[in-house]
Amino acid sequence: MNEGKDLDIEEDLGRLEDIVEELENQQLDLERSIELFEEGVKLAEEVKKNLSEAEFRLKKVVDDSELDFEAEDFNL
Amino acid sequence: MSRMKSGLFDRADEPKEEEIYSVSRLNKEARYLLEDNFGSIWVEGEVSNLHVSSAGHQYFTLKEEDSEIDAVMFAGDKKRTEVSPEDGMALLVKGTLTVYEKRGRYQLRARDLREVGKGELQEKFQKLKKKLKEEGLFEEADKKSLPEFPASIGIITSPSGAAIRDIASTIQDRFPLVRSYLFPVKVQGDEAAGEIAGALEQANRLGEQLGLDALIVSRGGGSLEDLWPFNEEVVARAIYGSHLPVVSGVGHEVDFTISDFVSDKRVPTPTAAGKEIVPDRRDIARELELKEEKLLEGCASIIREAKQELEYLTGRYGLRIPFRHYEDRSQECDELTRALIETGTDFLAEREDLIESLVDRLSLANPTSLLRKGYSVTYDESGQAVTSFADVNKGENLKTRLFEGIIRSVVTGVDESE
Repeated sequence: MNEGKDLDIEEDLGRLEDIVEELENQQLDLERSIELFEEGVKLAEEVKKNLSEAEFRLKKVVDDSELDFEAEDFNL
Repeated sequence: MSRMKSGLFDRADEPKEEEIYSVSRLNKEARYLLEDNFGSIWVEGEVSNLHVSSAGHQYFTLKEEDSEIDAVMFAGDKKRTEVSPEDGMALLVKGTLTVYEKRGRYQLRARDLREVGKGELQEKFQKLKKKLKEEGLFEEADKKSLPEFPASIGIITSPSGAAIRDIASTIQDRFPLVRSYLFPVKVQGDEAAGEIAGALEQANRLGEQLGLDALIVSRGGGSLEDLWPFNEEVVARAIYGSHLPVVSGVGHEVDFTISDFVSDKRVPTPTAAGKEIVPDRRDIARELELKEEKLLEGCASIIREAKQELEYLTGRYGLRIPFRHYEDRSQECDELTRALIETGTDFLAEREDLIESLVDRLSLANPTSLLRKGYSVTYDESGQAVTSFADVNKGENLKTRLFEGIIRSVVTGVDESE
């Protein structure tokens, strides 16, 4: 169901921005810059993949009388 | 006739037979043009010259101060509206433009009518709007902003209406990662207002458990009566009381409800609500690509600088630096460049131009300090650096790069040794 895994695009984009900034400040040695480059590209590719492969799911909230709610898949 | 005139008129002025319009063809084409270009539109104006035919069709003129248009509402379309036009009535007319071919007159074919600023419900609406406004329920300062990237949202609407389909397909297209929860309610009739208000409270109660970041209240278009639940005080207060931001998308563009005024964000339709509540993944993907380009450029410029520094040092210390050391560092530089290019190639396959230009710039990092000493580099016709007599043939054009400028030359002969 993949429900436990919360995507956090905001966090990923923030991290990516940090990486770009660090790379742009140019005080880095070569190894570090390649490391950052690879991390950044990996992150960007992952987010893009998540975005393009995500499957839309709609749930209908049925009842929450027992404090706990119930939701079922809702197909249009 | 036309033959007799040919002395007087330029032949080019004479119409070709197939270019001559018949009146009926002209009217027909004008009609297609209007019908195709306008589609369904809303027009506001005042009714005059109302005339009802024996078949029940209503003909009237819709006018403003110094402009008017003929309109007709056919008997078959009248069932869509409870408004019967009267002279002097201010109307909002929904319809299509067409040409009445028999008379060559263009007219509005009305399919739905709304009376502007009249009626009992209108009065109730204005009264509640005034009251809630005075109470401060519409204050801009109280409006919550919507999250940029919601993880989870609640949709309060009918499970069987057009609205949920429009919202779902919009979200599916733009940002399917968001978890969507439908809170099913009636959206018209006496029970609707209570159910909508109840669902707003329920969504807020379950907000934490479901991780909800924002809510939509919505329904598709309908008459003022159909939309009425969204003008009820209990719904307005539930929206105002929601600690989750609420987007209100009720009816069509022209419809305004109390829900719209009190919500954190009013949008004209259910589809627009879907657009408002989630970002578009295509925009995010573009943003990511820009970042990737910046990464590549940032990294390439670091390598470029390292290489330049290396070459500067090599030139400066000349033979005092063990040549070996230079070679090691140079190889390391090349390896890193390759790693960069390989990683880069994976995702920039379609942007080979960029990579190519970076590769060029990396490999041609300017060895100025060596050139300054009088060394030069000679390139063959394909742009390869010449390192051996075997690289060139007699008659070939060469380019030699000096510290200042370039020499072009032609090979007159080659020797293995001097």
